[in-house]
Amino acid sequence: MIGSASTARPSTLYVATLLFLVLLFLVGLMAGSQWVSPLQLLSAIDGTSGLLTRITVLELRLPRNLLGILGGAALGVAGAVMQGVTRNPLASPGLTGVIASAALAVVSLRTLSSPGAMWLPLMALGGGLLGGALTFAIAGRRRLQPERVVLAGIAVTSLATALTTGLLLVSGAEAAELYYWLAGSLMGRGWLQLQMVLPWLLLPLGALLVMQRPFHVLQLDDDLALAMGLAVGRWRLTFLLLALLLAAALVAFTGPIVFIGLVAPHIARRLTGDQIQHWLPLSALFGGLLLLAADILARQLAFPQELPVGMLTALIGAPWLIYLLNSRASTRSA
Amino acid sequence: MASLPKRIATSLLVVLLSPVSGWADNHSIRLTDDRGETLRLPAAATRPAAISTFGADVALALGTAPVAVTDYGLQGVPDYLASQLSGVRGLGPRHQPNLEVLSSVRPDLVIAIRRYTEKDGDQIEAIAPLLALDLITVEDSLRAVELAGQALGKPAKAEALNDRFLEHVQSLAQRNHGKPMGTVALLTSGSETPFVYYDHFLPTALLERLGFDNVGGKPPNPESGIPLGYRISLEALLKLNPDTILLLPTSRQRAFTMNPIWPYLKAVSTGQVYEMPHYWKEGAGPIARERILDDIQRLLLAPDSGT
Amino acid sequence: MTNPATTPTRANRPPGASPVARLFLAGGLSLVVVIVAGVQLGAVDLSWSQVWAGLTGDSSQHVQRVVFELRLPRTLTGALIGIHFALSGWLLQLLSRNPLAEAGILGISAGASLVAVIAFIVGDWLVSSENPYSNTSFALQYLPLFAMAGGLVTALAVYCLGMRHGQLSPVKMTLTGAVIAGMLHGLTTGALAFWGHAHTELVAQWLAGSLYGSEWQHLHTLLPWTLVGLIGVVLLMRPLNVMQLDD
Repeated sequence: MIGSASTARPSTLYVATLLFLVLLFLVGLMAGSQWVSPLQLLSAIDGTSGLLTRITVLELRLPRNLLGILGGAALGVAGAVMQGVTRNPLASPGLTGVIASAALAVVSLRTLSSPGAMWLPLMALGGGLLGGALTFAIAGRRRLQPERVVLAGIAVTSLATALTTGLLLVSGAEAAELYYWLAGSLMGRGWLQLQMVLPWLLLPLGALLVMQRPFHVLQLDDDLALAMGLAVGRWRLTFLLLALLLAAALVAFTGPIVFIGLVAPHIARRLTGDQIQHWLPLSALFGGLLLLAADILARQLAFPQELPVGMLTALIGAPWLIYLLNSRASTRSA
Repeated sequence: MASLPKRIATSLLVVLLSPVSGWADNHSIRLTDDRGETLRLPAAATRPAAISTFGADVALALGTAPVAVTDYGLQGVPDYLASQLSGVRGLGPRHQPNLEVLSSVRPDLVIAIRRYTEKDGDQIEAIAPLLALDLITVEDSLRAVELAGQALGKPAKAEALNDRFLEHVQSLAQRNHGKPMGTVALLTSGSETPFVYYDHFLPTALLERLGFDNVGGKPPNPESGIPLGYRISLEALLKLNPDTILLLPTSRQRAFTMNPIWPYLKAVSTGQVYEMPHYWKEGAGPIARERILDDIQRLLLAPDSGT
Repeated sequence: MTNPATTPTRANRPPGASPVARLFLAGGLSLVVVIVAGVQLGAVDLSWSQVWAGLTGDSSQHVQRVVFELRLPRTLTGALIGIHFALSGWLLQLLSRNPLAEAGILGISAGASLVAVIAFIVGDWLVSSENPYSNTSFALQYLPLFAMAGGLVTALAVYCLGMRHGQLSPVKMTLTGAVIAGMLHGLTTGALAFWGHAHTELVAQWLAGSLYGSEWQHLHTLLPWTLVGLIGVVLLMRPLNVMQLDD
């Protein structure tokens, strides 16, 4: 286990993280193409502000921030679950080909027909399932080796990306907007999108909350888990499916956003050490924090235009991950 | 000035020598296209191939049928020319025209959109002289029609097309007696965030000339013409709040119209949102640009349209 | 048929029928068939005699062009590029001790793609000068060079970051490559989405990888590198064999 000298007390962590989250949330309400001051914010909430401010805050930014937190939490939890049940610190929706396959499914549907928005999460789920299954199939008998899974995931991601690019070529002049979608973004996501994605995110999150005990047991050795009466195979599958659902559903609405599912659990683990009962909730919190922060940056950095948030998470996540790989020097596959 | 006998002698010499010097002086056409390359055509072209709708448009407008045309993939050739192009060979998409088919139709001129065909310039030129054109702004369109007219041996007709177009614009502009016509936005894309065009794009430039104010704004790179516009968040669009919104065709339901913000936009709440036909996307051709003006006149300049 | 009781040894094996030789023969034949097919088949229907006439220079300009200028160089370039990728993948699999490795692993494709997209975008901005005639897209001319530079720099970075205790760790290198590739891909898609609106179709084609527009010039440019690579591989045969054993 990575020795973390700073294993903070859980309550401190929770409070600090939540505070930070609330702060970011408020900043997120104020930031955008038109800066809204705190006073205007108050007036927007109690209905005394101008129409423009009220719409901007309540219809555009509020749902967008909520989606950022919820989506980030979903990704964080999905990553933590995958890492926990496969005992693979490098497992995450992005590195196991799930996100790319889900994106492929959505792009196929959008290119070949004009689907109602209700079909998108289902398609994404199907695609993500296929991708994930393919990754583990390719990893073969050595699927417990983290590196092997990642490499298989890369292969599946490449395949999915190639097919997606092919579809974009076919769609010709419409490719521009599909490329924007492929970069991952929270731009323009309002109450409608939030409503549609909410059940897909809340139900698995709730289920995982209830299933905490099997989750902890599963992180121990397989034999130990069996000895404790756990149907290891079945539970592992269930957890993976839930993680998949979380990631794929989000992809259907925001496009692929990578690295959050990998980085958030790592941060959470560092700070909780071996108090694993706090790992999942903190992964959720950190995931939400990261995505919200990235989204706010995306709005401000290229003012007045917006960068795709997927680009920022890639920029932030990758160097972090390399740092991680380098600090894993003495400890292999913990 | 030389004396009369000398002048007669010189003229006779020129007349006698011209068959010897070939068509070089009387019949060959020299043009410089938008790449800066010089084309030499031995004679006026009669079998033009079109990479990009403009080529087909200008050829048909000048009375020469094209022998091959590119299309928009799954969407095919634009409707406004489809009936006149039945039976014409398809070349595939404009950024990747099939060179074998192009060779098989034996064109004597290729009229193409520059930014997509530049990379294959050599290979296309091996088949036929390539007239590569910028087709973004109004100036581009005027120049392109003029060059195409020269290449097709109908310079006078091309000039007439340009003159008529400019007169049409002028007369429409004068109808308003210079009073401002309100703000307008030209949007495209079917995703959650629309793409808005800058002022220099042909349709928006025409709107500006007719007294409208395009909220897209001035392009950051006026000489290059690229980019054509930018992705605008709904917040920013709400802040700009154009009086009229024009939507370019897209194959999918526009997600940004389902955003709760949408009904709050002034243009939407007053019913000033219009869907424009496909030729607004590629409006540089003589037929297309006249139709664009007609659309503007019909929809936006009607006598009783409120601002 | 061989007598099941007789174990095939070098001594009594029928000449020229070793499995390796058969494989080479089959491979070589397949290659020839594919090349022939590449020249014969295409958007325009040509008969065998026409194709032959086109190759020998004894035909109309159109057939000559299709066969000799369009199809033949494209087919040969495709074959050559296939050789490049196959050899590079083989070397990388040896180096990283991983049967799933290939050029994308070191982030080479991702690095090249990002530089290519940037070249397109920057090319637009740089070339918008006062003289409209100098608008030859310089990005297109130097694209192969830029892309190569991007790929090389990325590979170098991955290699350096893949060191552990001063020695190359195959596992670490692979993972670092994957991460960097992911980051570069995110940047590429972002840059394309954000600034590439006018060129999307073009760049999409390049990113997808296409042999469209291949001509003899490409082949000539590529061939020296192929030779250098092949010679290098031959020279390194022994060290490579040694490397296959454990460190």
